[in-house]
Amino acid sequence: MSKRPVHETTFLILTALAAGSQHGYGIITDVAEISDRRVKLGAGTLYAALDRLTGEGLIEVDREEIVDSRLRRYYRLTAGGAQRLATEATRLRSNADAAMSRLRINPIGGMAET
Amino acid sequence: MNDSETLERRYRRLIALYPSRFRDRREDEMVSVLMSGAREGQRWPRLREVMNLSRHAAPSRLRNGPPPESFARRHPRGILTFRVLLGIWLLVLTVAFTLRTPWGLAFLLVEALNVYLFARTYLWRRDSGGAEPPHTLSQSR
Repeated sequence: MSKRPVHETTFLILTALAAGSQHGYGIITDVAEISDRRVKLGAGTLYAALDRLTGEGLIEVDREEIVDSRLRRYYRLTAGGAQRLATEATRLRSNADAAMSRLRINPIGGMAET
Repeated sequence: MNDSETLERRYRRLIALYPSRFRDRREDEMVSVLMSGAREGQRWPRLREVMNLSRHAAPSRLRNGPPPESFARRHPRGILTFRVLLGIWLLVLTVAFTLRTPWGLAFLLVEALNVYLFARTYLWRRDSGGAEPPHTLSQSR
């Protein structure tokens, strides 16, 4: 499995699926909520990401439903996807902790004295 | 035809930008997502949606590779060589004819098609090594 940092969009999609399976529109609304409305996924972006993540074995189709004559396909994280998300979240937290720690040393946020 | 049906028909036209292999798996699902995000009374796709789908359809079409059972799939190396040579020849024709008649620019359109077909075969061969396209669902409906 690749250890490259995942793109923010990928991270948010995996996070949206972490609590349980969701269909496409559910993922879009959840990603918007998680990102405080900053990331608004287009359908093209979403399905390019879902295809890629499925190909990498990080997510899989959970089930399909027909609601109001429309197809809803639900996706869920695989064990590998959950592991990848956990690894990425740990990496991001480590980076954020380092940033906050250094800002506490130099709260102005400017260039630190060397 | 009511607003909802009109909008759905227009979304399907937009999704037609994707290759048929992609549409077979995704069209109904994507229409469902797009219609879920539509406003009451909306009749046209939003500009943002048109831009987003167009941007992703083009690479999807390229990555999908040549049609199954096509000559390009069976002989990718030969077809790539042929397209390079054809491209050079078309450039020569473009320059030679454009000097005498503006119709020479029509060769540029053929050249653009040639570049597209070259890229489609090249990317398919690079990504899959001659196997199926990389973005296939492990579980299809």
